[in-house]
Amino acid sequence: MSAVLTEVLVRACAGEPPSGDAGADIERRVQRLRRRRARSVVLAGGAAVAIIVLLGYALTTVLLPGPKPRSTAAVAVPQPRPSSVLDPVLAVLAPPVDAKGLRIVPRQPATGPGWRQYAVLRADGTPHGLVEVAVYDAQAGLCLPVLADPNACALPDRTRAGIEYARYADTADVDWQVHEVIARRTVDGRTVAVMATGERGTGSAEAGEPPLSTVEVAQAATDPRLADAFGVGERCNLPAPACPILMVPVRASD
Amino acid sequence: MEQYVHLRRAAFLMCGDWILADDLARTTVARVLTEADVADPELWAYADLMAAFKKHRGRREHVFVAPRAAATSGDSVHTVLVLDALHGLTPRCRAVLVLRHFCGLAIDETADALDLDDSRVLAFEAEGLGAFAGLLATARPAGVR
Repeated sequence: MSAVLTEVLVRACAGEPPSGDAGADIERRVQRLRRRRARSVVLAGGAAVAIIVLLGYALTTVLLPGPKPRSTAAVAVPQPRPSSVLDPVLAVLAPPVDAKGLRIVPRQPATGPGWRQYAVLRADGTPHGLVEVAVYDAQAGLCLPVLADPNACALPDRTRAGIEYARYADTADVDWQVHEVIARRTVDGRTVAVMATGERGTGSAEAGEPPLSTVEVAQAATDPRLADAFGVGERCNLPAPACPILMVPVRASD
Repeated sequence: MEQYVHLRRAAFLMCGDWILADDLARTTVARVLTEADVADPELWAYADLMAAFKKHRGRREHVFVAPRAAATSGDSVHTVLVLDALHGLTPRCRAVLVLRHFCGLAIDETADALDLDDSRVLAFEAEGLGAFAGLLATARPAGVR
């Protein structure tokens, strides 16, 4: 039966028309298919690259932490703040000052790449000292100075958040009393120095007392918000002529 | 070229339209020539050709009617009768008949080409042969050729 059916099917094709230029046409179709496939490969490659780029961008944006001192240190610009109310540095410094009935306000020049300075005023508006904050990058480590020995490094205190710090107080000169804390975040070496200076030239130990105690300065300096309050790439590593001159300088070895 | 001619005839049996059959056969041959990794190009070509008919489903179904006997030759009448019988079958059944009895594929090759089980191929073949029984009975005594 199969052979008969085969013959029947073959005979059904008896009226087959001539194939014409089938060879040339097939060749054209082959070329067209190859071109189309090449285009598809190129498009697929482009799409894959675009997806990888977008995915990489999205992942880095989502996963990487915000302030990366070293990687983006090339652009050091002070971060514009809409007002002192929104100043994140002030948000850290203000509570202990306000608790004493004092006011803290930016003091012109109030800001630079890696530093801020604020004036502390009494209720009647008379000045009561200065608070200066500077940030540094010290990934390679930091020698916390010892006042009594310029060649020694202090053994730092350490907070639970992984910030090591050293406190300094120099109140011997009643006309220039200083409380200073240098705090370094060990995970990335971001270092903050906060220096509170009493009003100078008062001739009185009480009138020239710094507006913040060493404990309060330490609390502010070790507050993680303070280091994060500075913009990416802001730092006072040398040379930084505009940065404040601290009583105990930070010797960041980068 | 020989493969093209054979594919064209198989396509004609599937669709009953020489123009469409010619176009599909040319496309299939072109695709075979551009496929880099094909183990069995002949079988791949049959599978590709039959897959092409899925896109043309609904076209030329049951359009074959016997022409007036006076206006046609014996071969033409035979062709129309065969095509009409083929197109009375389901597309898969028709494909099984064409692949098995026109293209000469084995059951497993037909199953591969149509992505069916061997048992389904056998069932379709039996169904198709049953439908052709009447036509074959008239063809056999006459010697067909």
